[in-house]
Amino acid sequence: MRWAYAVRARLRLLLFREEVEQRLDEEFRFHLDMETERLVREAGVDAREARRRARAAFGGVDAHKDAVRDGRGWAWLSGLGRDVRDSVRSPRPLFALLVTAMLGLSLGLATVAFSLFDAILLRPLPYADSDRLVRVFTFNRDAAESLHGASLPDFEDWQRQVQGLSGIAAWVSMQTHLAGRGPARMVRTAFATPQLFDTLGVRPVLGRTFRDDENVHGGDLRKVVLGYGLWQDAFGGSPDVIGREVRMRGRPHEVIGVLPPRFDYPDRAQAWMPLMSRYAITEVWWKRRDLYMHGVIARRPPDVTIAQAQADMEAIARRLAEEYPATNRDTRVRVQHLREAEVGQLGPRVSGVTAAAVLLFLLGCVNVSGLFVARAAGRAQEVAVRTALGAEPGHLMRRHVVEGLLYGLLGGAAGVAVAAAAIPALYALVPVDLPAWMQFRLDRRTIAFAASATIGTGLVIGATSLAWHMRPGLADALRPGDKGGLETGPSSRLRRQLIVVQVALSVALLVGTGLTVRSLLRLGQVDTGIRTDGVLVASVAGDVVPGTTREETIARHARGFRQMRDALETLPGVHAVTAATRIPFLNAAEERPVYELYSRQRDTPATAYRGALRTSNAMPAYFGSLGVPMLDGRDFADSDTLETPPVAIVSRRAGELLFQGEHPLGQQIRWGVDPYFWATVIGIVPNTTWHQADDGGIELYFHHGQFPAETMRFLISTRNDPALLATSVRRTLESVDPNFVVERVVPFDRIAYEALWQRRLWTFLFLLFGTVAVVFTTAGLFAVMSYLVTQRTREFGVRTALGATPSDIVATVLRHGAGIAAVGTAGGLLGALAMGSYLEALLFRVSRFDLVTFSSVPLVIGVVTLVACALPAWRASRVDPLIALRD
Amino acid sequence: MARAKGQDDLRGSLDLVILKTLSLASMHGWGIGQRIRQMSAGVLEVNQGSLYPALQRLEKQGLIGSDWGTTDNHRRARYYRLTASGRRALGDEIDSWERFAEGLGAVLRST
Repeated sequence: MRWAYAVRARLRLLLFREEVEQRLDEEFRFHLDMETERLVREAGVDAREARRRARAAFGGVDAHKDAVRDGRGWAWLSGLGRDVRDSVRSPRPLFALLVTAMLGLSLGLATVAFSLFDAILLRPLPYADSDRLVRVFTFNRDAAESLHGASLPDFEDWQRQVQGLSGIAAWVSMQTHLAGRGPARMVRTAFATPQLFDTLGVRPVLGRTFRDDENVHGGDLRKVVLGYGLWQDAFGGSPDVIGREVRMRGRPHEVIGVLPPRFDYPDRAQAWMPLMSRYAITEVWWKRRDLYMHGVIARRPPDVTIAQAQADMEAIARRLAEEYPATNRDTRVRVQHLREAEVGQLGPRVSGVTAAAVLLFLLGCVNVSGLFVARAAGRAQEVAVRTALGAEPGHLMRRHVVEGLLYGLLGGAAGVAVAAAAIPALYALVPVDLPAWMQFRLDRRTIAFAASATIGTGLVIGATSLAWHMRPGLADALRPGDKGGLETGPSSRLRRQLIVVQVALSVALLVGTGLTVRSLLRLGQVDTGIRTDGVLVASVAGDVVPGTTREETIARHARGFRQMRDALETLPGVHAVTAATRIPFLNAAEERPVYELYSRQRDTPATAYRGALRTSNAMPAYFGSLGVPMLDGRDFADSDTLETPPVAIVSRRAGELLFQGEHPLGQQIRWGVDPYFWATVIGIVPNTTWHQADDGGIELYFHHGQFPAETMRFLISTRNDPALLATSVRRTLESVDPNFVVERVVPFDRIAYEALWQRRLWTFLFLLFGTVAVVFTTAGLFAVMSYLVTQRTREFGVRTALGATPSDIVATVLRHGAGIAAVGTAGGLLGALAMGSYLEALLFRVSRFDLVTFSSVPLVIGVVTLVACALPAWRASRVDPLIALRD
Repeated sequence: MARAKGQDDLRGSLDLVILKTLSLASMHGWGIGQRIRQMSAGVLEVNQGSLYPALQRLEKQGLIGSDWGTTDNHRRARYYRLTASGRRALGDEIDSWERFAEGLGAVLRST
């Protein structure tokens, strides 16, 4: 029976809350009435006094109600509901808008940064146990900063001897001509050893990958594994593709498997073929120890650290150096985590952006906390009354936390909206195809981050305003109209501290932004020495006809490309046509020193060069088309052919480095591998920069007619807009030989623009962060100064009455603002100096103590302070002493 | 919640006193307070801050029930009454209280 009463009581309290509240009121009122009557009767006091005493004896009505509610056990929940309703009802649209906008911006930008950070540096790579995957590189003892792959004989020795690594696999990536299914196309193909798939933990969705017996030197291994995208594209996703034939490099290959979607390792591969196939590599490759061109990946067993693996590989490298001193004496190895190796230069940039976003986020939180404290100051009386009436501190706390969370939620929603708009916009700034795993988007992890950041922010905001309320001396707030003579209240002190922190954060952020943007601008000022305007680029790849010899193929390609050039030259509007295998911006990456390069002065032995190196096989007029002058000697000519002695043109630095001070013209350089050629230097051109910054490398150009290649980039000069020519150029190229694949046809300007996407991306982000930081700081300073002026209204009135001029008052306010800004700026500059060493990785030709940045940021803050203080100062100067003193 | 702690010490005895008061007659909150004061000859002064939560708690436990009624002066008031289980609980409580008081007395008297 007892439980029945209990349940009934609870249900009644839960279901008929309003009614129950009313009854509590009625019961308490009845109690007070009875007590009053008793006091009149027994103590003989008048009704008013009796009422007062009764109330005093009864204590805080709110507290009793709370206590009774607590007795119900559902108190917390129903109280929570009340707090939520109260918060939502409170009509403060401007406040809500400000808070939502600030939180939305800071949360949104933090989310954007997180999506980048997560994609590039945080989330596991999409391979089994990806943190145990490592890459193995070689490097020359004298050039530790440029890492290369391994030669096949070295790789095979590693494979046999290594203890500290398992599943070691090698590959080489190439563009491969694919025909027989739809139009001919070039396919990014990885020629790989069979272990690659197991090591990465990828299983085919159809068929199989390579078997160990498909790893035989020079085997007739005409098998291909398709990537999911290529399977969809070329075979319409047909499930009976296994066993079908496809022509790769002119020869039929059997499709044996299809890999899952989004798998594109290595080098965004679209197809995989056996490395040891005689159609992939020639005998030279598995014999020579100085062709450092094979990527190597391996798996680190759980009980082996990366240092142990490194030590193990070094021991092997030492043994090989003893055994093969001619090639391996100076070869060293490095074991790197897969992510570190793949991310490269992106890593520090992404960290920098993330750090800036964290600063901005803190700035936003401090700003919003400042707003809350300002409002709390306005509500101090209300809170004091509630406390005096007996509202429990616990409930006040809940109220603040609830409010903080609600605003956090609003801001979080706005933040997700900001991120949802900004992330695709940012991704649009990336014109190149990132590997699938690097692509950043608004995914589940990003939203989870936004959600937890939102809740965290809400709690922090709630806690801040609560901390303000819980401080001692609240009773002072009960004295109405007391705005104090001077701004000494704890509220204004907290606000001042907050604004100082805000200015400091902002200064640190602006210095970081300034340094980064300045170095990005410096990168933009690099003189590449190359003219890109008025030039259209068309990439064309040649076919391989089965059953023809290498010489026949070379001749066919050379003939085809020359015919194409001649056809292009007849197009109206075209005034020059040339071509090269590799061109700046498009082939910006330093070429791997595939071949040893030797220079030979007449009658002296060859010396090897192992620094950064770019080569290109060019047609005549290549340099003229790019605005690169001949410094000495002559250009290539059509009269240089396979029948005449091989010729070369070198950059000025190559001439200086290769021939020990001798004049380069007439010197010889050895080029190529079995067969190799000695080419005579006939011309010297200036150094050119192929990407962002000069890397100190050298350039060597060979004659296309003597060293033909499968792929050429045509450079078509025009006086008109090159984009207008694109269609006719493509049609002309395709009409010459349909077996040649015409890839992109695009203005050179565009290629140069795309090549610099990283610089644009980071500049955009840092400028955005800097701008938002300035806006936040202005708003924060404005709010705090307005508040302080309001607080000192009476003081200003008195001063004016005592004869202070409006300009005195303006000066007072400005001085106050300047004081705050100065303290904050000093702190921020110190912070910026402290994080300078961390920034260094991001900087290019800008000192981390860059005077321009360090002096202009305080200037910006000065202007911001002036702007923020102007209106409050003006208002202060207009205070009417009569009104101020009467109030 | 510093204030609540003091109440806890008295809670057991307050519940007992309320139940005892209600065992004599149904009564409204104010009346219970007055009655306790009278019965204890002014020694026990019930703080209203404890009284109403205690009533609520006892009702929740099903030891007392409540109904709205009219006083002699024709005013609406909430009357509390003892339930059957409340009556049983009162008996148990009195027994254990007496044992406790005896024990305590014995301890205090011992030399």
